[in-house]
Amino acid sequence: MIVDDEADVREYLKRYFKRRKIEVITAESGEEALRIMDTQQPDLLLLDVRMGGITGVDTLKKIRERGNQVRVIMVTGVADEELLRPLKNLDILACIHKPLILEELEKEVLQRCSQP
Amino acid sequence: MFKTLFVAVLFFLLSVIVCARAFAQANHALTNEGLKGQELTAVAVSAINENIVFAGTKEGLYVRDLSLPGYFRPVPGLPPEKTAVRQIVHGPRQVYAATEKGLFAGSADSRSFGNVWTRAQESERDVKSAAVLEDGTIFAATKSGLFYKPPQEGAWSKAALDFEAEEIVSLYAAAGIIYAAVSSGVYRSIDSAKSWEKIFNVYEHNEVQEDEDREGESAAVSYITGLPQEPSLLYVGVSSGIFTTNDNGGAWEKLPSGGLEPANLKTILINPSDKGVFAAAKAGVFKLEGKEWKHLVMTHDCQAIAPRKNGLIVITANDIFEYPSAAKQQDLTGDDSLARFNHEPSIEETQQMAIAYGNVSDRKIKDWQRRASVRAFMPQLTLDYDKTVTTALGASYDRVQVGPRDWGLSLKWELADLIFNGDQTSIDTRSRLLVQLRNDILAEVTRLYFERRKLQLELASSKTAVPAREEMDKKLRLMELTALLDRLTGTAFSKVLKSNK
Repeated sequence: MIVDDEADVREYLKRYFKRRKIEVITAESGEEALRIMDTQQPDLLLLDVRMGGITGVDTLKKIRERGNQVRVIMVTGVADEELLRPLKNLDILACIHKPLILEELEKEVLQRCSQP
Repeated sequence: MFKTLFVAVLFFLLSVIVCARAFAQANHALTNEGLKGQELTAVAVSAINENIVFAGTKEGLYVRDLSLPGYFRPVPGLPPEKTAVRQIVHGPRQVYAATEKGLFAGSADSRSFGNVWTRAQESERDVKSAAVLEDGTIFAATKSGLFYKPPQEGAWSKAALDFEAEEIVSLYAAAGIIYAAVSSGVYRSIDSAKSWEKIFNVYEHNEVQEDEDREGESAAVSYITGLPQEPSLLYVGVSSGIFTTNDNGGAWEKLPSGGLEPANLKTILINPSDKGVFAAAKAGVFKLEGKEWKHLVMTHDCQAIAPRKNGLIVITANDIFEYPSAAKQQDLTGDDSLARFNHEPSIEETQQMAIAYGNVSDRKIKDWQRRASVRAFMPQLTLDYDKTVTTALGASYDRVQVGPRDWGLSLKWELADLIFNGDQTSIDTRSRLLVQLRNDILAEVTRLYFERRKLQLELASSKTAVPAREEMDKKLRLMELTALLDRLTGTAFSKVLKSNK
């Protein structure tokens, strides 16, 4: 699942992974992501930190409060220590920085998905 | 005036003669015209004229002169009713056709054939294989045994064989020696069939059937041949492989089998110029190269081969063709091989189709940048209709005054955007993703395109009458690759193919 407020980013990532036979669902905001996760359980969440509405960090807090232990990779464009500090306690797999290198992102996703 | 007319007529006649000669020497393409609907069984090329090709079928013997236009015609002299031809062999002066109704011989330029051996009894009449020694002694192998006729004698004799219980499957004659292959091995006679010696025994080589359906059974000999220029060199086709000797049967060596299915072996051919070994099996024609058999021609029912010029004549059950054909040889050299695909979209065109369909062109990035630049000059416009609230803060009192409802308009510019637009970061991120996605699509398009092209060239370089399973698989894969390219280009690829045809 890809959560990013930029439509182009969601679209390009979705198309890239779809070409590799990886099924992708997208959400344009933290709120939409929470609604989707009421009914679906993705194997992995790519969550943008800075979004309109609630931030990626707050979205993740709510997810964890609901007891959902979905695997999460945070995606951030800035190295904002204040913003990222709470992530230490939210059990994330990795934090990757933009600009995204799709090949490396693919390796990361495949590696994480294959872990038990 | 008469002088001019005379010169003109003379010139015309000379032109006609020159054209006729050129026409006569032209090599007309070998096709199965005249043989359609018949099942081919044997083939041979005249030893004195490479343009004359004999083709045996289950119905008769046919001939074609490739220096003339036309088609295969029945050879005169064979019985008028259907006569299955088993084999066509060369003698020192004639060509022989071994048939179910006897042995027939004719001139090497195919003028007429005549019966040289026949019997009332079918088991003696049906000639499975024939061979002719250099002195003209003819041998005919039938179900009832081996018959022979020396040139100076008018009558045929039956050879006394120690192995009479076994049916002869193949004969070969060279340098005064006659070889007879039976299922269990090969016999040799150096005294014109008066006495025989077994020189090859499948049991000694512990050969077993490779065919799964006949697992456990002993292998069986099916063919023997050699190189007349080197009498000690022999090749024996066994259902488990091909054996060779270069000391006239003293020691045998099994050739590598990799790539060949010896269980369905039909013919072995040795190229006199380079001793190259060719094998015709059901799956097609193979050539031994090193330790592997290269699959030269793919068919699913190859029957026989014969050497012609620098190539082969190949027959399947329903077709006859040359390998490689003169046209195909040219097609496969240099750029001519790719010229046949000029009507198809080039790789560049296909890539552009994919970029357009995927909406991943550079124009998109430029469009983002252009819009961001324009936006920097555009103010933020706010329009409202509300009460005006005025506050006044005095030294000793504060006053708030609320006015009537009124329209309000404000324009706001972010002048910093003219220097650095905040959207630029987002544009950078999106641009990089777009470029990566585009490269990913182009890599796949390129891979599919050239895999498809290689397959087209492979299919074009082999000739088949009825597609073998391998060829069918390739054709299906070709269709699949075309469909995959269509998926990446939104069917534009196929549309261009169809419109250019």
